[in-house]
Amino acid sequence: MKNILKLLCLVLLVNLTSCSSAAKITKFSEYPEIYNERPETILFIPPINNTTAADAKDLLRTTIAPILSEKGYYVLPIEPIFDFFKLNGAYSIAETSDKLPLDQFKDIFDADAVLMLTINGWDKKFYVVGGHVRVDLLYELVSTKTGKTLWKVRKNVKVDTSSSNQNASLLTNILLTAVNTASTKYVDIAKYAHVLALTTIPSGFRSANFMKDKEVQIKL
Amino acid sequence: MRNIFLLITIILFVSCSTSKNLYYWGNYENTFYQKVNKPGDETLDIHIKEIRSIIEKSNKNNVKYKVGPGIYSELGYYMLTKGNKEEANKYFEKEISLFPESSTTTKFISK
Repeated sequence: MKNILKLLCLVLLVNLTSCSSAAKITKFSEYPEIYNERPETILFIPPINNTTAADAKDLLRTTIAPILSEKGYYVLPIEPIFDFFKLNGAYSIAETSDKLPLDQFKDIFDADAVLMLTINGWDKKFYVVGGHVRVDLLYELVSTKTGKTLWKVRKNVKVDTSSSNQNASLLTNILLTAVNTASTKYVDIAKYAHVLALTTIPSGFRSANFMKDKEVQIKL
Repeated sequence: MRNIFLLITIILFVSCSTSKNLYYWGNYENTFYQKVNKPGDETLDIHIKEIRSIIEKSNKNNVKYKVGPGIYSELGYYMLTKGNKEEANKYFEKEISLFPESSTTTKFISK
C-alpha cells in the first residue's frame, strides 16, 4: 500500500512537470486583468488589414466565432454585427478611429470586451510543388468598462499549404473537412492561426477550466 | 502492477488532454466563408442549410452539447432578411434562453 502511494506521488510529480514548460509565464502573470473582470460577452469588430490580401479579412472573421466560443465566451453573432457596422458606415472603424466608442459597444450590445484583430501579414508563396502562407496577426481584447487590455498576443506562423496533414495534426479539437479545395484550405489556415493564438487566452465562464487555468504556462 | 500502470495512463491522459468540445460546429466556417466570399442566394441558402443541420445534430448528438453561441441568433437574422418574422422570433427566443448574457444583443438584432 505504501509503495502504491509513493508511486502515485511520483506520478503526480511527473505529471505536473510534464504538463509545464521551462518558461515562467503563466496565463495569470501575463493577463491578470481578465481574471479580475471576467468578461462574458465579446464583440469581434471588423479587423484591420495591413496587407494586400483582400480575402484575409473575410477568412479570419468567418472562422473566429467557433474557436473563441469553445474557450467559454459568448461571441456576439458575427454576421448581424458586421452588417450593422456596414450599414452605419463603420466597417473600417478600427482602421479609421483613434479611439473606439467602447461606451457605445457596452450600451448597444452589452459587450463586456471588444476583440480587435490586426492582420500584419498574409503572404502566400507558391513553389512548383506546394507552397506556404506566412500569417502575422495581432489580437487584442479590450475591456469596455475600463478600456484596459485584458489579453493580447501576436502570432507569426508559417503554414505549409502543400499538404494538409501537417495542419491537420496540429488542429486539435477541430474537424477538418474531407474536401480540400483551394478555399477550404485557406479557411483551415485561418482556423489554425486562431487556434494557435487562442491557446494563450484564459478560459471563459462557460468553460470547465474557468478560473482554474491561472497557473497554466504559456509561450508567447 | 498492471492496474497501476493503467491508472497512471488514465491520470496522465485526463490531466494533460484538452477538454472536450463545448459545441458542435459541423461545416460552419466553410459555408459561412463561401457566403461572405460569393454573396448571393445560393451560398446563403447553403449556409442556412448547414446551420439547420448543426442545430439538429447538436440536439441529437449528445446531451452535453448545446447549440453554440450565436447559431440561433444568426439563423433568426437570416429569416428576418427573408421576411419570416415569426420563425425568426422563435430562434431569437431560443438564443436568449440558452445564453441569457446575449439578451441585449439578441433583442437589438431582432429589431
